[in-house]
Amino acid sequence: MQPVIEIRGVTKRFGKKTVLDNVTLSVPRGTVFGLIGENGAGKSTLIRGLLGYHKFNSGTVSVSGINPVKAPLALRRKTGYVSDAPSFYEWMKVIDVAWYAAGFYPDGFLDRFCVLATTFELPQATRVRDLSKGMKSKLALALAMAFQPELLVLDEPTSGLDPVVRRSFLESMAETAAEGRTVFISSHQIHELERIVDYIAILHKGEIKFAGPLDELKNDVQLLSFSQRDPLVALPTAIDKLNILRRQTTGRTLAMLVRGLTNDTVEQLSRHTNLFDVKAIRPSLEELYVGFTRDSVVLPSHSSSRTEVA
Amino acid sequence: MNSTAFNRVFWKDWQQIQTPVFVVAALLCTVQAILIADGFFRLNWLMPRSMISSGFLYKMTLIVPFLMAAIVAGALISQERGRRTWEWSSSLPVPWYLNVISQFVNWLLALVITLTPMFALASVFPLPDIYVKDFVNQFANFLLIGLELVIWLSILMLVFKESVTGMMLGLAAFVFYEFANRAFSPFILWGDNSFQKSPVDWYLVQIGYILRSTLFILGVIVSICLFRWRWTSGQEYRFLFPGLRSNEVPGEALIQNWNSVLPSREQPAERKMVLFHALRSMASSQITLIAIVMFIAVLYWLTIVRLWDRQTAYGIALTLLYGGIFPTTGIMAFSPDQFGNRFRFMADRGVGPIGFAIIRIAIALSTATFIVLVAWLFYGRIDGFDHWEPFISATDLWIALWFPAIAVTSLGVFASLCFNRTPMAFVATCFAAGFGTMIYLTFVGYGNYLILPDYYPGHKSEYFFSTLGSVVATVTMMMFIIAGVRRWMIVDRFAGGRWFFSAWATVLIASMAIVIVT
Repeated sequence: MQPVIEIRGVTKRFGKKTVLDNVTLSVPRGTVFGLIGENGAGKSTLIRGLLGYHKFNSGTVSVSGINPVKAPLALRRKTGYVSDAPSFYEWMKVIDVAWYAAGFYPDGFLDRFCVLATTFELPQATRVRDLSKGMKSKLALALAMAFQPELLVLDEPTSGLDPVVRRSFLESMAETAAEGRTVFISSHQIHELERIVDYIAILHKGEIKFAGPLDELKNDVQLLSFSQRDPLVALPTAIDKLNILRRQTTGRTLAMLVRGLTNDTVEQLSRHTNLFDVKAIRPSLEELYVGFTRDSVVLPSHSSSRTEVA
Repeated sequence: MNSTAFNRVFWKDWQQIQTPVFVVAALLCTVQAILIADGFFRLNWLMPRSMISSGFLYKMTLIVPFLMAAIVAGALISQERGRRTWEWSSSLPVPWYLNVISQFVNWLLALVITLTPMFALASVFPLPDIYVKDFVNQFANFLLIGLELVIWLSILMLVFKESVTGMMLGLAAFVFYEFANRAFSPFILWGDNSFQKSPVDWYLVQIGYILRSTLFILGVIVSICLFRWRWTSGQEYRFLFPGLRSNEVPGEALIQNWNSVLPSREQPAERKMVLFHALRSMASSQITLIAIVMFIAVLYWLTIVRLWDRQTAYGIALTLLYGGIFPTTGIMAFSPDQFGNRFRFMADRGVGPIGFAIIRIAIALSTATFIVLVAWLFYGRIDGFDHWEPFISATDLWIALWFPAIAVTSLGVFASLCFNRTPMAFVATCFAAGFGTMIYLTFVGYGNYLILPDYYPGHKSEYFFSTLGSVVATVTMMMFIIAGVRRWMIVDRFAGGRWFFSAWATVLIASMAIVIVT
């Protein structure tokens, strides 16, 4: 299937600073795609480039088969965008904002907006300046969804929403994807993303650390930890054969994010006389994220209820 | 062109300027009506029409294009960029050129709405011959200058992200352009004087006009290109001092950033440190203002000898000071802290409103005093004695410049407390100062007329009465500021301030009517 977003070897520099470095991503149609990364990782730069706000220094981008820089208007007719801090005309009423936006889209925008506004409990006769932050976020979402775009690009969409609306919104994103449309979410709410995304990309200092199905990430990468009786004794050779992504030593305890860890290896380590308390668990997305973006590993909690591999 | 899309963009733009446009139109029409009534009474009493009234009517008509230029550019570019509404608008599938066309049409509409009733009213009692003689030429020139002002303001507001920075630098660039134009193109003359010269001069005049038109067209092209670039690039590019402050602050907000106290990397935690930071940050912005004034003053000093119309240049310089620089000096006291409720940062750290106000007022008044010193040295010494005959000493001239400057600056400080939108504070300051001065001088004039039958405008008693008016205005403003700053900072952001200003405007207009009746 033709991906909705196709990014190949994209690099973006501001002066001497490289914000995005050889980024390659592919977002399949009809999925919820999550982009996570720390502040300043380059998420907003990537999103703005996808929407045609700036050219990349190198690489190619295609969104819904459109080059964003060459045909930004055509792209915006197919793409709904919610920025991290949407600012509307404060003197307008909610319904005025929708009426204004409806002038640039095909018929039916206003009707669908009214339905969404009812769902989000948006007071249509209220002026924007009298809306709370959460209400403004709801307004931005309703506007972005009202023309049923092929692609929804959401930059921190749930900030300011109360838990009930947040849950309802996330469910609606999954439904949107089920209808064959694509949702591209950039967020810091990793717990929430974990519940709804099909694909995930981790961006760190302008580089993609991982991009692929979330299940693949969670099945492939494990958090291995063990303690040593004598730290001066060499570690077993099985450790050297592992694909270690991150490693952290705290006292006599070692924790590491590893790829391709097998049950046999865990068994082998458990039998080693110098090692004890050997654990291999499937980390949460947050632990994976920390592992990929920091030079540290979150040590597994003893009270963790998660599945232990061995 | 998609008519529905254009209609929506036009509607959005018009909604943003209609209130100030109608307010300006109503105020000017009121003034016109009062002047006409003034003329009517005088006619009945077989008294000559007041030259002051006629001159005011005439100048108002010429000033309108400038006023409209500033309002439209301020509301449609700087306000949208400052409040980030452009970001949402530009994320919709609307072509950038629709916005350019809409803004231009709105500017023309605003001008027509303001001028039509004014001309209609003025035609009832035509201007004296002295003004009619060259009115069409003058009006056309002022309209062209108004358009040039739009272009300069647009360019600088598009370059800088924050409204006050863009507006101030736009005005400075505009003044520089106008002075340079006259100083280095002496054959580009206004009015029919230029055609009284030799045929060679006539050709040079034509070349001058072509040069000026070319520069104007170039400015239009540059501003359109900048508009397109900003619209399509999402406003994110910075020009000055990137990383000067934390990420929360736009890097190019040169003056407003310096002047505001914000949580930043160097975030001061203690009350005294916050106050010190407020002092230091405001000082930076005021130094920028002084630098702009000195730049213009030096330019004036260098070019004045080459200007054939020194009186006009002197008038422009003083108008710029009292209509632009001093109001801005005052407005910079509190206006930047209005944005995003930044003053709460200080209030939350225990900064007292009175102490904070004293620091801000002291800095604003010190800046105004220094600017007066510059004006006294550069403008006053050159032309002040020529134009203001009653002055017999340099001290007289200093007092005549200083007291009104302090009054206007204080008015600006108070307006910055009352209005949370900087352009509104600016317009309110200029209107209040202009109307207040006019009415006060009229009262003083009548007083003089009763006391001294040989009264003429510019008499020394009028000058002393004017000084007295400035002192009264300053003291009144200080009382209002001290009374309002606590409400502003701690209670309700001084919500009643704007109504206070509206009531004041009503009183001013009513006073004007009373002057006529009595």
